[in-house]
Amino acid sequence: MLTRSIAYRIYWAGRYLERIENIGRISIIAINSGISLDSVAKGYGLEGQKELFDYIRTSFEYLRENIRSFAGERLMIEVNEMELRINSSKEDLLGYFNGIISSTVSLGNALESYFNDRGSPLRVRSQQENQPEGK
Amino acid sequence: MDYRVVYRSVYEYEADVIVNENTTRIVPYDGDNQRLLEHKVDSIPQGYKTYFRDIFDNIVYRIKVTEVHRRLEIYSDSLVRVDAKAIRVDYDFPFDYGFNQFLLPTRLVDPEPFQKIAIELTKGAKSLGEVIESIVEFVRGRIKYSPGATDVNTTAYDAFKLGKGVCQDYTHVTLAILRALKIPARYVMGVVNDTPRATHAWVEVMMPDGTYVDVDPTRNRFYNLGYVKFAIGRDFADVSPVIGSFVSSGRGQLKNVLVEVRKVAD
Repeated sequence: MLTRSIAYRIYWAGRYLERIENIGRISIIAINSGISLDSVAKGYGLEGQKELFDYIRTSFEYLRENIRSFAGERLMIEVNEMELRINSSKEDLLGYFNGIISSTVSLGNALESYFNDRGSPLRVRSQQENQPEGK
Repeated sequence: MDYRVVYRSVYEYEADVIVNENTTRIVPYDGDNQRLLEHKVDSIPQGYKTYFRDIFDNIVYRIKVTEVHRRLEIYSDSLVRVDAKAIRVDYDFPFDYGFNQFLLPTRLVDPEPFQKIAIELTKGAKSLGEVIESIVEFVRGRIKYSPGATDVNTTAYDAFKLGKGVCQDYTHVTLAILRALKIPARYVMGVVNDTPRATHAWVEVMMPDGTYVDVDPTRNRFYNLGYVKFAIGRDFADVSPVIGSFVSSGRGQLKNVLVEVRKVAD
């Protein structure tokens, strides 16, 4: 079963997930290259490091709302895991972003198996006809 | 005689259905000896509805349900007046009707294999009435009533070879023999007026004066049956009560059909 509204939510859930993963990977490259997170934020059109973290937080909230509309318990556990990572300490920035990436990969895999377990695909089928059989 | 007629068919599905589109002929015919006084067609869940009359003047409703569902109910509730017909069957046989659409072969009723049988059966018959009665007697002798032996796609000849069938097959074989004799006859789908359990099928034979007389080969009844007809056509394919398709990952099945006919006035 896939209604238009659900398809829309799946699409946006995918986009927000990619966005969070993308920020995480770029930030790791930046940290390893000695570039400040303020510069990374500017690359995203944001004011500074704080806005970068807010951006991750907002993207996650939208992601959660979209996933909530179609997903079951297993996926929501992965979503909660990601929230913990996003809200965790930012003292070790490399560890922080590695944690975020690991949770995005894990949520991505959970989404993948969620859709693979959906059973047979949609098909157009004939309605069973009513054969007159009165006696 | 006025009848309150209710038709209800329930479909159940293994998985969610996102679109379900059906063409229905579940309202009594408004013409010939019937007058449709009121009617209502709907579904649960409700859908978009449109209405038209087909080439045989049958009342057709198309219903498209887009609400996600696992159970679909399609129903009609009608009030119909059925009048008695003036029947005359003592016309001379054979009679040349000329071209008529109800003489043509169809997917389910091909008169060709019945040519020899038809000629053999009507040797010595002088009137159309005699022809009709001998055909019905022959069909009843050859086909044993046996639900489940055939389906909606069984042709007249297959049912005849099998020797088993339901009212639909009795009707198809009777039509094939009549058409082999160049007598126009049409398939009628409807409900009987005495405790119906399912939809029924019978035959209407054209007389030289252009009127149709009703014959029920399954129940061995002739003329002025008083049944409530829903639709007429060349064979079952023209009159299927509900035909359609749905979009789902699972299969669906017709769970039950309920037919109610109640006399409300003489």
